[in-house]
Amino acid sequence: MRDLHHSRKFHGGLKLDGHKQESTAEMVRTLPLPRRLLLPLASQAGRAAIPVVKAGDRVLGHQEVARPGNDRSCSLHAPTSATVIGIQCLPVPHPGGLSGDCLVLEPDGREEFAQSMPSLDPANLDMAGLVQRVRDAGIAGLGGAVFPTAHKLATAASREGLTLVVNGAECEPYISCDDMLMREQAYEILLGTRILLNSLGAATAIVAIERDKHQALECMQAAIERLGDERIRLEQIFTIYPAGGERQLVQVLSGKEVPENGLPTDIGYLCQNVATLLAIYHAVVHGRPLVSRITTVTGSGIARPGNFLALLGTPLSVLTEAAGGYTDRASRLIMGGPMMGIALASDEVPVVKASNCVLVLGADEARSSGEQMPCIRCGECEQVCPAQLQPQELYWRIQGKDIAGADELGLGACIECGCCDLVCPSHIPLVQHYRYAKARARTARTQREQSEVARQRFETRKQRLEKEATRRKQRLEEKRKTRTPGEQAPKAIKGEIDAILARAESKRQDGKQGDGTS
Amino acid sequence: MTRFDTSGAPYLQPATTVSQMMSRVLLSLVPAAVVYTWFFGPGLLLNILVASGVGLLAEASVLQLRKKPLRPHLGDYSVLVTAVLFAWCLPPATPWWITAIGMVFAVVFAKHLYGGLGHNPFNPAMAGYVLVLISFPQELTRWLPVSGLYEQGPDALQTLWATLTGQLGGGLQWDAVTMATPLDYMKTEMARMTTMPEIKAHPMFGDFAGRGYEWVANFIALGGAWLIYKRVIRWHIPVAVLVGVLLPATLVYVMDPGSNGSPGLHLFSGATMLGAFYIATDPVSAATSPRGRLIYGFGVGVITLVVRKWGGYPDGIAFGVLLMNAAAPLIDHFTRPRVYGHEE
Repeated sequence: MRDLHHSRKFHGGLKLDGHKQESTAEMVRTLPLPRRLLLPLASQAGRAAIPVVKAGDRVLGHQEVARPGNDRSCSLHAPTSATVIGIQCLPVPHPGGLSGDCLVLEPDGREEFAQSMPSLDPANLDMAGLVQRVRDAGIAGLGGAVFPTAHKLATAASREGLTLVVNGAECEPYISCDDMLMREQAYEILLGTRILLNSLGAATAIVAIERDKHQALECMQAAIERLGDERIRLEQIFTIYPAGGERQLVQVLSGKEVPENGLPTDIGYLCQNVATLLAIYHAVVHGRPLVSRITTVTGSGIARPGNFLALLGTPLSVLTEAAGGYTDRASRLIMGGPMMGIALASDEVPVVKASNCVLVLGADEARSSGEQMPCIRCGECEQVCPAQLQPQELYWRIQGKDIAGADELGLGACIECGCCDLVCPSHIPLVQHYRYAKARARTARTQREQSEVARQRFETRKQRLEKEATRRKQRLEEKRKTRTPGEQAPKAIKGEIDAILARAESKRQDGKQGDGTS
Repeated sequence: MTRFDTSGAPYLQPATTVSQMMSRVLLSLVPAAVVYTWFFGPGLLLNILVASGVGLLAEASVLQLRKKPLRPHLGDYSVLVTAVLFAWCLPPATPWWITAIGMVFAVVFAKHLYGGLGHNPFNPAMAGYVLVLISFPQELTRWLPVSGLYEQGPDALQTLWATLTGQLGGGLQWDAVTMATPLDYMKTEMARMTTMPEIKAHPMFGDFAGRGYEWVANFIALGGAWLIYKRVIRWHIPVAVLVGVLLPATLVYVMDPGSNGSPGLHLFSGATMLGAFYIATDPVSAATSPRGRLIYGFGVGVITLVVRKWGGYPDGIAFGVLLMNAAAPLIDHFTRPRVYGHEE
């Protein structure tokens, strides 16, 4: 086990109070079957999934209920046998507090399951086969970003000599679902790792875990020894937020940076979260789709914090209730961590693939909004920015409505980790400004692209019309040239023309008379 | 069903506040102020009182005019920091109206006419100081002698009287009670072709940089070190200022020790320490990128020494700071660090 504590490091970051011990005292608990399951069709990446069942249908557990909308979207499966109530527009976990179409299922309690997909031989599974199985199982990155794993693997398939990074860092405070998973299912995680290693033809897998997760480190180390696969090794990394971010983790492990607008695979690294690897293992070996995940329920607003195995679609209220309910201090409900999570208005939203944590912060832990002072240019934000940005300069440009200027300074490299926000003595909500500016920059870019397309189309049309006009002119010229001046049309034709003209003239006369009489 | 607040991430409490930073700056100056008073009498405290009162009044009036809330802006203590640093630059027993004029200029012109806290391109305390320095040259060079030396300075009551009226009571004459600062003395004597060893023979030069002044400087450096430890300021600017003074000072001293003050003298006399740790580090008017801060600080140091050696004033921190303030945006423009993943 190598210790990278004193070696390569990324710029900035923050040492934060972990608050992990509150939720790691007990084993992962199971939940009662909820009355209803709500499956939002829209995932965070890609187009919304398309339902393949209708109201009134009875579905079996693990049966596909919605297929991917495009290759960046994910299919959905029924977590248990249930009746389809229909598609309803309900609140979903969304940063803007929006509602979205959800497939509503009513579990029948019989827990009948569809026949599982055939087990695949992990030793002889090529990349194409693995990608297909992962797609069929509806697996998305369970670290919180929920990027469709099939798409990620497909883009990595063409790369040679990749190193697989098993991300067990889990750097955000309060969240402990990956920690618990590594303690309880270390061996299965490694089996998933081995499947991916085989299919990728990769030589190395690095399991990266923060050094203060002692039990997880021990369990993974023991499992590595038990598996005896020389390609897999464990590395302790220092505990500093956001070490678990893909770009930062790759930098910690390799000392290299992911290029601008690039992916870790561009410099030879493919990152997968531990829970995602476990899902891959179950999909390949047991033919089981992704229908549940471990979710941490914690914070001083929760009576009995812990980790729960939750079916996707379970309303958060079921989880908070199972965790002893709210305490008097409960003031904020967050899906995800305290740095990057989504603030929710109510606990009626469901657990989705991204739900690594349900955090209920107490009034004394949470920041109070308002009371913003002007920027005093102290540069604290610059000191902690893992993207090596100058957050203060970005902020000034955005304040001056200079979105293009902020974009030029590297706004796109911002990972929205929130470090700058937390150290700002003036309490300026910097990340919100960056998010807004990024959206504006994106819109501007799309508009630019669209107007560029429109301009090209216009130019092409103009060229085409001009070309046609010159061609017509040329033809006329040529015709005129072939006819020598003074040459008369042949007599026969002339006679014919005269006849036609006379006929037309007489018709006109007839018409006029008709008008007069009627 | 409970409804929760949905304002955006992050949700944790911020680590610090502007008023906490500013109050730490004030707190860290207390030991040095005590030492100053011990050596030079209560003049500094009177200056601070006048500057703070006038500063708060000016700040409140402008905030009222600008229709800004009073409480958060008076409560950020930034005007008190300006007042204390400005007062520190003045000789003890400066007449109150001079202090008031400088402070009003600092708050109204240098700070609020540019947009208030966070928007002033120039350090307000230094802008106010330079205004009174060139407007009242006589009063601004009336430094009091360090206690325990042969000349007896005015007592506390006389200092108060002088602050209030500009006159020394009890038949005392200014010439009888004032004494040049070591830097001032050095400048005057140098002009009279006295050599450095002769100059340093004067008892005011104390152990290495001037009796009294060197101890004030020590305690200012101590306060500054505490601020760095508490992460209120970063090491870049203080170190760069000190190197900026030290490097050229050593160079000229090595070349001609007979007509140059020693590097130690430059480091521990005048406003070098105050400038390095407290004035040049004013974040609002300094450069913000790490490399930029090194360049900025170095510039402040070099200009200070240039003014001391070749300029018309015995000290040059204020000019160094103001000139580098003007250069800060340009420095920032050219010292942006490479963004993660971007090409050099």
